[in-house]
Amino acid sequence: MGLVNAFGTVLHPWPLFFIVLGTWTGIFVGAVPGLTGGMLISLCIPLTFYMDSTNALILMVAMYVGSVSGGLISAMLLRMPGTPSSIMTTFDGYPMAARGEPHRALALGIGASLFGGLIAGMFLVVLSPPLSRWALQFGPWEYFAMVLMAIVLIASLSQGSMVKGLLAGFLGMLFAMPGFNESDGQLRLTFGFDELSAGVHLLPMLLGIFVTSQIIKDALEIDRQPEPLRLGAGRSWMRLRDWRRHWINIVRSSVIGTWIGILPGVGASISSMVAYGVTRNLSKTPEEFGTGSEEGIVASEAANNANVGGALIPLITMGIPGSPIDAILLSALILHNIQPGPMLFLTNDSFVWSLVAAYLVANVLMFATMTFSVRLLAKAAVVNRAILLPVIFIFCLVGAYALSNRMWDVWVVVGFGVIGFGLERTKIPLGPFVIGFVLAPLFESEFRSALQLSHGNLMGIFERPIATVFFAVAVVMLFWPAIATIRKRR
Amino acid sequence: MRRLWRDSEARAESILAVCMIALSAAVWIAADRLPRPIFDPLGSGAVPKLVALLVMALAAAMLVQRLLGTADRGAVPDPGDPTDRVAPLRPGIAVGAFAAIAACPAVMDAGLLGFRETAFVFILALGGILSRFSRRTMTILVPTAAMLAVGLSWLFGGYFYIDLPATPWLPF
Repeated sequence: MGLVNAFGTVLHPWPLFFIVLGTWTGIFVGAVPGLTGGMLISLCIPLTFYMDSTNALILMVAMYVGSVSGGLISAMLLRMPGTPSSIMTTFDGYPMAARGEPHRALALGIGASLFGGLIAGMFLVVLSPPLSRWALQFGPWEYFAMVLMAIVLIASLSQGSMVKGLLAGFLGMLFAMPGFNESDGQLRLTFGFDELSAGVHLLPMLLGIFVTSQIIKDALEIDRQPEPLRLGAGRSWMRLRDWRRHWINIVRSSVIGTWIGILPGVGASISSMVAYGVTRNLSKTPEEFGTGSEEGIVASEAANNANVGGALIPLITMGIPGSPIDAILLSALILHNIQPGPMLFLTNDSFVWSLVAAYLVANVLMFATMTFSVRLLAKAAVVNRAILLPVIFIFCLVGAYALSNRMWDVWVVVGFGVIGFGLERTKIPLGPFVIGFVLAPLFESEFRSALQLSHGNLMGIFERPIATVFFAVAVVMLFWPAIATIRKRR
Repeated sequence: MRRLWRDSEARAESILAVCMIALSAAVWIAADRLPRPIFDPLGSGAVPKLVALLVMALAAAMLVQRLLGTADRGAVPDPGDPTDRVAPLRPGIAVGAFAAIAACPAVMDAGLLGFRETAFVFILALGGILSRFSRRTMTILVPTAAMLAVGLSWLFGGYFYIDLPATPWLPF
């Protein structure tokens, strides 16, 4: 019933306008290599300060859906994934487009994206209410263990080595430490800067990590401007026989994408990699993978879009981000004075259902937009970055300054831009960094409360079964690479 | 060691690891100076010290991996260069772009220029650096920069009531 009412809400002119705007800008940004969904949503946060919170979050969810989907255009036509989640699409999408079937490649990708998104939406609708009721039982030990699990999970499954993933997560936590400590009113780690007494604000950090670092990276790679494949006349939609041929793959990859999305902190690129790998292992023609396989395109695109819906589940029900972009959405919720977590369903269920409805509408709109304007989007993918990047930074500057009317936050943007660039150049993933930063206050406050409850006894965690399971998962994931290496040697 | 210094990726990683060790050491020292807790089991300094210690240990592990040549290459495959040729990196342009980005708050912070003028000059400067001042791009950038600088000043200053810096020596 809540969802039906929510559809009534989001199909009103203003919310619908924001879904359309969000989906279109998301697709555009996803299609342009070098621009990412994280960048767009971070830039958009300051513009939403003056908006109604439901419309603001609807806009950002639509941007999220659009940006993950748009990446397939440049992946297929430029062999340059517009977003990291489209990397696997590149391996089969580009060869298929290059051998003269660009419309077919795009049709498979767009169709699989739609169904991936809708299947994940189904899980979102069905799982969110019981999960949030279950999460109501969580106490400080459960939250502490869950945050620990999220950081270890994202570190172990993110791009690069485990050491680098963990390093990124704890470094993010370290940057969240300065400022006023609520428990004892102590100012800490300000190093003589008065501006640090309120800590490092989230928004300038996001703008630095996602936007400024990307601008410096794009400047370094400014000559990486490939010629796009020619997209002649044709229709980019799947035929009935394609649906019949690929439906099992679509459902399987969507389920994989959704479940990986539900794991705290794990993003869409991992979903598409796992779904691609599973599909190749089950395929009758695994040798075709990497040379333009239809199954490869379908698996990758269904999974990365399903990941968006899956990742919204822990965000809505527990206040734990399912991916780096969800960490940005989490911060947007906090900036709009909405406390994410299990209580959200009890206190503001119309808001939650509006987000779910917006997510579903955005998927359908994404399908329609990409199907009918793919030629236009293909041209947009090679937009002149020398014009776009300076404009983006000016929005970034205003957004950071507007937060507290002070230049300090702009310097924070510049500083985190350098940090983000340095981390990326050394292949230290940014996702765990952002999630570590966002979850650090929760980690510390829950750890403190848990210890107070257990009278300072660390073993108190083992008196709580759910917390013990989360903790055990974290420990197993932490030591899994070492265990796997030992087993391999034997 | 010489091999490490020749490989630019290894060099960058080693420098970053050393910076992280130094940063976390500074955090550890500052957190250690915080008063001990009275009622609270943790106090203000415990979690920062723990996190600093973890960062230090992991950065040291990364450095050791590099020194021993056992660093991981990463799990995500690379789709390759899209142009089928090596697209050269442009460190000079990246440095120029960073200089423009850093100069932007610097001139406003120093009170030399306001937001409107800085935005105009910045868009032209960064756009020029990125396009090697190509005439075609600059022709598009001049009106774009003017429109954005004036438009954003009006929008944020007049409509959203954000006190964007103004140029002190200009009467308007």
